[in-house]
Amino acid sequence: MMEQLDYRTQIAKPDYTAIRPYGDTMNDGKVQLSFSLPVPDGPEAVEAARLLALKMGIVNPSVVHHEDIGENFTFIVLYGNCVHSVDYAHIQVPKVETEVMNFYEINEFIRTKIGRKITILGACTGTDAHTVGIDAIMNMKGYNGEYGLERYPEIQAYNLGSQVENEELVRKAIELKADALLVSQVVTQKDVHLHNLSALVDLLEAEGLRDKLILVAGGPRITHELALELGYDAGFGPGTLAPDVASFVVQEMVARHLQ
Amino acid sequence: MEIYDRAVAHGWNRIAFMGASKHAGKTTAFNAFLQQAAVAGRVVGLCSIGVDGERQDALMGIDKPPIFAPQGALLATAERALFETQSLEWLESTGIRSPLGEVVIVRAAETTQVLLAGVRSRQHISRVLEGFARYQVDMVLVDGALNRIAAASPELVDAVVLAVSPVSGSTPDAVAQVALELSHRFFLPEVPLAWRNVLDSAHQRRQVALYFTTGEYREFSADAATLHPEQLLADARLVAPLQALYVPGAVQDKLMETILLQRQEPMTLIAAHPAQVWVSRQVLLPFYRAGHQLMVMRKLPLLGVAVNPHHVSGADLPLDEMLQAVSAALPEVPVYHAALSMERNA
Repeated sequence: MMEQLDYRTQIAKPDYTAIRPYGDTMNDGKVQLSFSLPVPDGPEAVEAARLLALKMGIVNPSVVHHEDIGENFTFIVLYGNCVHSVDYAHIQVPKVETEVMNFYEINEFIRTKIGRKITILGACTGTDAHTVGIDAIMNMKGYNGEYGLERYPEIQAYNLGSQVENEELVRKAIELKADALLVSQVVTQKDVHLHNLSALVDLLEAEGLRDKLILVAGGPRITHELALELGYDAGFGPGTLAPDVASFVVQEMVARHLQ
Repeated sequence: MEIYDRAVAHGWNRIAFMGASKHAGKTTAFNAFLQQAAVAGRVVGLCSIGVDGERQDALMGIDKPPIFAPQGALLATAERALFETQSLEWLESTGIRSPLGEVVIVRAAETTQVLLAGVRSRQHISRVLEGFARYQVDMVLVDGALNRIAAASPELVDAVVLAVSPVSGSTPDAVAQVALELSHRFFLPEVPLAWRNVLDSAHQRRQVALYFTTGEYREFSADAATLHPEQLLADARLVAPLQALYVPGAVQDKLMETILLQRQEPMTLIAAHPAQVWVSRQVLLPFYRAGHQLMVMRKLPLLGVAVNPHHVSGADLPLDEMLQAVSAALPEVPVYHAALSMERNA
């Protein structure tokens, strides 16, 4: 009887020191790009997209979809092959490394290791009005099957909402004796929100609070590395849920003897 | 006179580098200063309140200037920031936790490229300075992060270098205006000696202090000026006319606005030092116009302003015009081009 081959053993193995995008076969470098161009739809727009892709280092660019999106703009979808590779094996990315606990474990951890309820303030600061992220973390109903911090019996959670000035957030932190501040920012390339994030750290320093609380930044462009550069204790990006943040906060509090 | 020579002439051995923005040229100014200190044979201690020496920017992915620690220099950096650095002699752990591991103090056995990370607060810098002192470091350079000013405390450093670039403004005059506004805190007058003697106990114990024209003096908890400025000033009016109010924490808009609303007689608001001043120009100008004064208990000298004409997105400004505009705005401070200074001294 013929031995049945497991198809998984037949797949080519990636070289982790030279990773390329995967399309149909290993290392084919196949990518899909979509973008819009500020020109009317037509053969010239397609050619412009193709030339741009070549300049990006994409070979065999092929426009598979183009569409007039009004006002002399064209939406483009393009396939091609990326000939570059990266050394995945030697990448080091700073990331939050505390153990993620569940709702019950976090509350138990606070009861046994901290011995009192903790206070966490969340806010979108400065001009930022994008509260989706901070709401998902703070609000009682939570997000994606996880309760928000307001539901945690051992956490006094205050969601201060959007466009909270740093001065006001610091005042609230003093008034409510906050153990942790969660600051949500979109962070644009114009650096405005970055400055707002760094200004908060300095303001907390000036008030003598920086070393007395846990400071966490979150948002779609926030990484742990960026948070570190800004002077925060941790940074959480998209997909973060309440237990990720709460687990970090409570373990960091204990590690820094902030009980 | 080079910036380094000016620091030596004044005996300023601990220098903080702060920027007007991200990509202002702080690290280039840091490197230029470090180069001269190394040539002069100084034992230099290096740390950063952000992340410096990384190959690329954490947000935009663009290249950043490397930092080369000269042979014999000491570094305070996180353990995992040292993975790719060769020829280091481990000296001690600092106990400072960071997302990249504990901050340690090491010595460069030979000139080597380094990544400085993990030091994030004044308390951390203070601990690092204590560590450096144990190894006979005679000059300390603290690199900044974005526009952070926390390191600009006279308790930590002797002088500050400010870096500015076109990221702060689209014309030389706009950049000069930003430099002027950021520098204002460094030119605030120090309190007279007689006042300092009275206020020193509040300063040491981090208490708010009210000093009345009658010579009376009262202390309140540190957060009184932040949480209840109206109450604080209303209570003061019941005692006697107020001469001065010392605030150990951040001096902010809300407090100044309250003074403007409640007080008629000119008075002096006193911050601990320049990095404690957090007031906007919109509030400060009416404050001055009302006859009030803003002072600091301890000044911190601005050693120089490093002008970087390069913009990360390519919108560079003419160097000569930038130097001219910033010099005109800050005539009492040396204004220089750090990259040029490095080339000259290479």
